[in-house]
Amino acid sequence: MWYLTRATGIVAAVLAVAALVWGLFFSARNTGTRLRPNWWLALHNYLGGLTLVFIALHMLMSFLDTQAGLSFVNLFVPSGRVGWRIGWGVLAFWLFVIVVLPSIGRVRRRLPRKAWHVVHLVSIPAVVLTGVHAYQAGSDSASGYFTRGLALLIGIAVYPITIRLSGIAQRRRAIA
Amino acid sequence: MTTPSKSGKSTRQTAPIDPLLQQRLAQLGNRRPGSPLSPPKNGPAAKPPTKPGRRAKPARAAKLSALALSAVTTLGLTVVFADQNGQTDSVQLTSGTAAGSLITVAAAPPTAVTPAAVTPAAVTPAAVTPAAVTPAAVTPVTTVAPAATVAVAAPAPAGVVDGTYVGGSDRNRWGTVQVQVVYSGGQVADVQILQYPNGDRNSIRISQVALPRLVNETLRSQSADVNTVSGATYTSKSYRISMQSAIDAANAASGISG
Repeated sequence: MWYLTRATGIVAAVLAVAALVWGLFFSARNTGTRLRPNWWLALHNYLGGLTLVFIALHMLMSFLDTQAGLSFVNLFVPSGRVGWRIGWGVLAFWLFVIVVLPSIGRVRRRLPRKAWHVVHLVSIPAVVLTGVHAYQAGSDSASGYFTRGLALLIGIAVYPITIRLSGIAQRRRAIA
Repeated sequence: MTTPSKSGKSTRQTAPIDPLLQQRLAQLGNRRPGSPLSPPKNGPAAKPPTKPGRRAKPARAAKLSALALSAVTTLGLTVVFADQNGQTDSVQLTSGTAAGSLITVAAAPPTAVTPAAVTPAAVTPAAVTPAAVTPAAVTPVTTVAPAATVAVAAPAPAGVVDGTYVGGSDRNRWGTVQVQVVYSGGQVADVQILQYPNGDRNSIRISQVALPRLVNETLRSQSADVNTVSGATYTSKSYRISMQSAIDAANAASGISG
């Protein structure tokens, strides 16, 4: 069960980064011409949902693992009692829920676009907290593979963030 | 296409309209409002209209690939982790045996060793010396490795000689783990932790949670083959190494080979 917990956690983290990157490329209109925008958007939505599914699996495995010593409440309430290395993961889970749920069709239509956008930006701290949780709680954080993988994921995530921010800055300069 | 006129203004010269297009435009102009568009007679056949309520599913292949890749990666990683743990276990057992083989303390006759020797203070390399144990009592004590020391105490009917055996210390990323095992009646009766990772609050908390579980499992299984405690992978590995070393020392002291 412990191995499944670790595996689902790693896959959930990779999926979260993939969803973030897809969303950033889409919002920066940096999607190229070969694939239509709705392809990018559909895949971004799907990756976001899949991330939440794998996070749920990760939590379920942690709960079923009797040696982890996590109660049902510990899975949903971050506390210092079980340690903040677990708590960061719980916080990241709630942030992902906040990001994904308002993006479901009916809920999104009722939200003002600006409010939805602000809520959607929470995905960036959610991914950062996921990284902190993985580093502090992960048994693999000392291995070279983990360090290289984490560096790769950070690089993959930072690139579209830079493109997005530079696009915003250019647009502001053009308006001014 | 534009051409300059005599007055200097440009006039638009219209190209001849394709008769098929002309026919289509006339058809569109004549149609009744609300009536469905019919395809041009000579043109390519239009796609049949999709059923109402059926939505296009973009990126379907990519979505399926993402799902399959995630599932396969999860299973693959699980297998790799399980395999890694199995490999490290065998390595640990080997290293534990190696540490134990350094101990060449001869098995003492049951009544020869004084009970005073079996105290935590006595379980040091200095304790197993001719000064601590009378020369008559212990037959040739050749060498004692500092990694693991043995204090033989009382007789056991069969198997491992009763006493306290200290395992070698194993250092990991978070600190050092060293255990001491007490044999009574040829069985592991107690396990004491001599050293554990305590460099920070987190390490202390993890050790406090993990080590009692590892000790309980050792007492249950009577071996060093214990499962890794979740969140305490390093401590568990070091515990296994030190425990195996102590068990090997006990076996060596009792003249049990293998």
